[in-house]
Amino acid sequence: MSTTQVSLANFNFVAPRSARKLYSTQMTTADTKALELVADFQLQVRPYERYVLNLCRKKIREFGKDITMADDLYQEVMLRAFKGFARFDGENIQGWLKMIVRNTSINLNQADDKHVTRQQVVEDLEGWQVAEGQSATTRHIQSAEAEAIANMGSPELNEALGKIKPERRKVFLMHEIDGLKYSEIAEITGIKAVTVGTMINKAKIELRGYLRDLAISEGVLQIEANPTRK
Amino acid sequence: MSDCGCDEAKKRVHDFLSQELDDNKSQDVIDHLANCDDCESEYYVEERVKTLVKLNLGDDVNQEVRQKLEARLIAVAAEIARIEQEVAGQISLTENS
Repeated sequence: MSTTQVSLANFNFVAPRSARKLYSTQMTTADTKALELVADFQLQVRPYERYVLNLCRKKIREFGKDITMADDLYQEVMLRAFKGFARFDGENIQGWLKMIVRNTSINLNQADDKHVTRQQVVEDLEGWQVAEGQSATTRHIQSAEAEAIANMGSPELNEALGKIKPERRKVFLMHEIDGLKYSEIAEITGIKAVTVGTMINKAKIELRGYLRDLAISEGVLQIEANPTRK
Repeated sequence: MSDCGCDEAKKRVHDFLSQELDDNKSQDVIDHLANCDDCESEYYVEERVKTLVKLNLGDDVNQEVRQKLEARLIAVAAEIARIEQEVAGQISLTENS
């Protein structure tokens, strides 16, 4: 019996009991293959975990369900993504995951039908191919600024966010991260919904400005490469 | 900037992305973006900013959920691998017969 070539330890998580069990017994080729599939998937979706969780929370809130259910939805989404992953050949994993969140949350109310069918996985994949095909035609419009922002990560974001007025930042994040609508934020904070919208818009404009400044100071973006000042 | 509705579109792009516009107003924005490279380019920048925020902020997936999910993924993967092997076995049987 050959020993496994995959080590879950390389992937920065604690192997659950099921994996340890696989480890401790002799590995078959199928077991090795299974661990490889999971490890590869985890590696690819890792950068989008928060994004997916944020989306799940938003959906759960929209459905008026208990927020702890977001974790369950998250698991269903990832399982469903995993089932289609081997056949996913697009470039935009993020967009595909977003589509799966939407498709999975539709099934959420039909509690009896939780089991993901092959048909559903195919629908995710085909649906995404269509969506990606449609957006491909417009991709060339992406500006240098969009490109620069696409390459940024949390250090740049946090630096830029830190410069925004705290009260604006607060409603902006309630909207973007917690997925609350202007009207919901208005209810919670006691600020008028129109004002909430204005605050969020201002925060976003400021954020964008600071990100642009950062990109320029880092030499990623030329000052004249600004499509808004025509 | 021309008077082709750019002002209005640029003002609304954020609300559009935030799904805070009604269907009619959303359609107006979509129609305008389809015909105006400038505003479409703006739209992508806005989208990138939102994406940057959504990818990097918010709670991380908690460890318990992560572990539960991993166990389920491994179970599914094992099933997939087992079926693949069975199918491969059947094919080789057919070829040998």
